[in-house]
Amino acid sequence: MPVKVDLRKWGGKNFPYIVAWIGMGITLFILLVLKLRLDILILIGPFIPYLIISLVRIRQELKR
Amino acid sequence: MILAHITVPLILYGFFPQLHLLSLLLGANISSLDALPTLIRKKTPKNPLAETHAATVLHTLFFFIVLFIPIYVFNPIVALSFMIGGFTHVLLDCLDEKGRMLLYPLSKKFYGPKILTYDFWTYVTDKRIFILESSLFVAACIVLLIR
Repeated sequence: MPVKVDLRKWGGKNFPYIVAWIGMGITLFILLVLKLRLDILILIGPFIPYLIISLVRIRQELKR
Repeated sequence: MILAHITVPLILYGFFPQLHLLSLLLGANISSLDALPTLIRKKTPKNPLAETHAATVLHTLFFFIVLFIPIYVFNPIVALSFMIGGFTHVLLDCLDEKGRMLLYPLSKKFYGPKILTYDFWTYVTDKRIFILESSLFVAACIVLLIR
């Protein structure tokens, strides 16, 4: 069930998971860019605003 | 599911290279567009399982069946790839405890085996899920490197 999270505490406790997830994400992204070339923009374009919103919210949460 | 929305279509592409990769990936990720209300919300709703993400028509098999017809006229391979990609998203998502509206528009009930957690924070730190997602990741990387 959903859990209320203190992002700073949670991040410190689960650092290895965060690094692994981000590492897998970046690796997959690089391989996809190499495969799809410019077509990758069609795939990620609609999600760029989502990424920006998420990063802003994470920053706000960490500043609190 | 997080990375599985990319890795599972990639593995499928490894088995069926005649599919159109970009359409497969687009179909497999377009459903996530309904996450916007969840992202911009100010407060966590009392019942997070009732939130917008995954509860719209984008997370139904019906949506992809309807889109299949007009895209098929344009290009049958693109249409089929897009529909298969979309199906993978909905079917993978129905593994979580929320389930998905698999029978929409006949029923608005959420169906699925409901074996994985829906909560993001629990999901990314669950050992079992991490092993599953990282295995799929390795398989997808192999497909991308050899194809």
